[in-house]
Amino acid sequence: MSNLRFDLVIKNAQIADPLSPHVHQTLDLGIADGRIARLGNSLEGTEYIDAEGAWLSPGWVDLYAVCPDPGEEWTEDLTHLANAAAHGGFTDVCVLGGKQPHSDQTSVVRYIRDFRGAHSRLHPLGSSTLGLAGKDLDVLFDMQQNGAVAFTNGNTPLHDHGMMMRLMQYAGQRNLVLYQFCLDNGLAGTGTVHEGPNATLLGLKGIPSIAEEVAVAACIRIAEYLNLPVHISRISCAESVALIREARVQGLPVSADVAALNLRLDDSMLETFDTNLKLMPPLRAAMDKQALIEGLLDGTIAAVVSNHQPRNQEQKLVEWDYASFGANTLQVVAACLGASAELKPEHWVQLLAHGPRKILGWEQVIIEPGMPADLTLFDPAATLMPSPSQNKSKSMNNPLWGMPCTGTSLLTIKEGRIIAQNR
Amino acid sequence: MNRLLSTRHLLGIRELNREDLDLIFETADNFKNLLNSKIKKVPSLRDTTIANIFFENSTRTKVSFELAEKRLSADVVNFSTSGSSVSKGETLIDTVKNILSMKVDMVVMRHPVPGACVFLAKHIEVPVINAGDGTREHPTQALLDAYSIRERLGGVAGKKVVIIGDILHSRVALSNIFCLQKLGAEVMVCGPATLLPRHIASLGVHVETDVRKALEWADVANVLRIQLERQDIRYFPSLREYTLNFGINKSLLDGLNKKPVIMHPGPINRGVELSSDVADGSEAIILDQVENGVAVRMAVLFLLSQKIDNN
Repeated sequence: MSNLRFDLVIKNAQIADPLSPHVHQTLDLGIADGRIARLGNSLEGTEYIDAEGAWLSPGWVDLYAVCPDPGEEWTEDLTHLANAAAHGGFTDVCVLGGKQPHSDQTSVVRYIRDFRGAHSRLHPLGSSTLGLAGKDLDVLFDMQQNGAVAFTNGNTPLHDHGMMMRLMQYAGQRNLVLYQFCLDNGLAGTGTVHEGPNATLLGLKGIPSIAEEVAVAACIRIAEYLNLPVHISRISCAESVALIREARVQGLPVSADVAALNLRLDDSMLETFDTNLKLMPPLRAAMDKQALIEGLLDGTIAAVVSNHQPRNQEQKLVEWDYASFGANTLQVVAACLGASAELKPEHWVQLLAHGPRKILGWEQVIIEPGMPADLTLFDPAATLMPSPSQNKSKSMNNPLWGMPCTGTSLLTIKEGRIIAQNR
Repeated sequence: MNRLLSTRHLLGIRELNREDLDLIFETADNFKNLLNSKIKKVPSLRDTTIANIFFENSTRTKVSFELAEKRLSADVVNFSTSGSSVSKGETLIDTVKNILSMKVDMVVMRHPVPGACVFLAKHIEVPVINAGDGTREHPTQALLDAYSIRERLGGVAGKKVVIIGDILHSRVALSNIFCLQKLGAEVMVCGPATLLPRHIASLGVHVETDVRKALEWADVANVLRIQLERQDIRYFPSLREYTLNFGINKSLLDGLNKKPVIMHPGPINRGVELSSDVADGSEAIILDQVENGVAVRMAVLFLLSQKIDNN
């Protein structure tokens, strides 16, 4: 046995995967032919990495990132995005591509499907409504046939509940994965930040929590009415967590995810008018942030997404109202989770690996022999200061730069090959 | 000992402390005396160039600033454009930096976007004075309002001031709330429920939708212009309906136990928020506000120019 030489051996890794029989053990992991070949002690390999006790997870999967390539590839392109994702710990990223609104999302889906790069795998997201306008069904089957793994309406609220229902019916008949971004158009109005005392102090028009709550409630009720599962994308307020928790207690097939920055920042920071904090969904109150974290802990929320929305300087270095929503986040997802010490390494695996794969209906990657060697080594307690010098994305809109953070991915392995290292 | 403001810019009342407010008022007292004397001009800002940059329409604020600047002997350039800088294809920073390359020492800016002056102050070297930024603040208006209350009632502390009208879209309301509270006044806001920010009470103000009760409570009523142009959707059905509910006329005032001082930042929609007999009546100090505006702005410009010298 011990005379076997593996292509790569990761030494002294703590297994964080709750589905693995080796969870919480510190072991060597031998990789051969792109697969996990063995877990044990003193394994010999052609190449070694010493994990020094860091935690090992199945490769992380990001359910939602945006890339304006093709169309505005100077802001972000697939190559840079895949590199940033790899350095953020992701082996796989679902990407809504193309400069939006795009009239032919199927061609964008094919473009992303055919992308081959040295870093993370990219999986196309389809648009659920034409031009992401929220008004008409887009060609869901066509896009699925061309590789779309799930469908989203981006940041645009659906026009009305009728549209919401037709979309669920249409996607449901073929079990397509639909991300519902819930925001009631009329209640959200022209707001740009969370409606609360901070917005009042700053004279900024708010997006009230009720705008999300009403849409989440409608979404759950319509799904129940149609007897279909539903996935709610990027919730941001305490009321949504409560609604989803209640639905799940009733046994309804409702799942949800949350954008990483909503776990790390809140609306008390808006005072600076830093447009990198202009996000969709908006940063909400500190109590919302706490409720989201509780939702992660009790399993109400199944996944954390990057919500990577790269923007160029021309879209951000302007007055607040004229600035685009979004932040460059692929490399700071871990630095968002690390802020919550209550989240144990097993939670990280659940939220970044098992949860996303389950939502997409993919086979789980479990840390045991025979599984694909898609792995992420991470340290939830490492202290760091994200900065532009580590940035792999083309865009510069990252609100965490210069802010002390906790938590990072250290090493990302795809099919047995190291695609990113952060140390 | 030369007293100085605690800030380099005047971006909002929120950033000022009580000492700043007292200093501005005492300085304004001196300038007001000057404005009522024969020679209305002083050389304080000679060799100082001030750019008045207005990205939004304004008549009285612009005139008031320009007069204040000229009476301090500053050189003045005006740049006005309606619509966003974006639609003109030039960014705000570019526009202002272009003007500053011509050796300008201070910028007075009005802009339709909240926080625009905060953004600008981060990117340029010279003092910025906010002449109104969207629905955020209009600090010099609040200063002249408080100054006028102080003048009429002998002080602001302990006075009850109600701000009536569209509180949701009003930078005047927000700056007034901050200013009056720092000076020890009690503040109430009154208007249609659809035009009261949901979290306004978090600022420590009373909230009222019955204008008669509000007036009965108040020592001072600061009546805001109903700004239909700032409303993206209908918050009340018609001006007639507004006037019926919130308009202040003589018979309403006559029915009160005591009449409050009536203020208005202008321009008045006569017959809408104020009837003419109230606007022109003995309780109104609307033209005093306008007069005091010049003295208060002179004080602000003068005090901030000292900050240039001290840097």
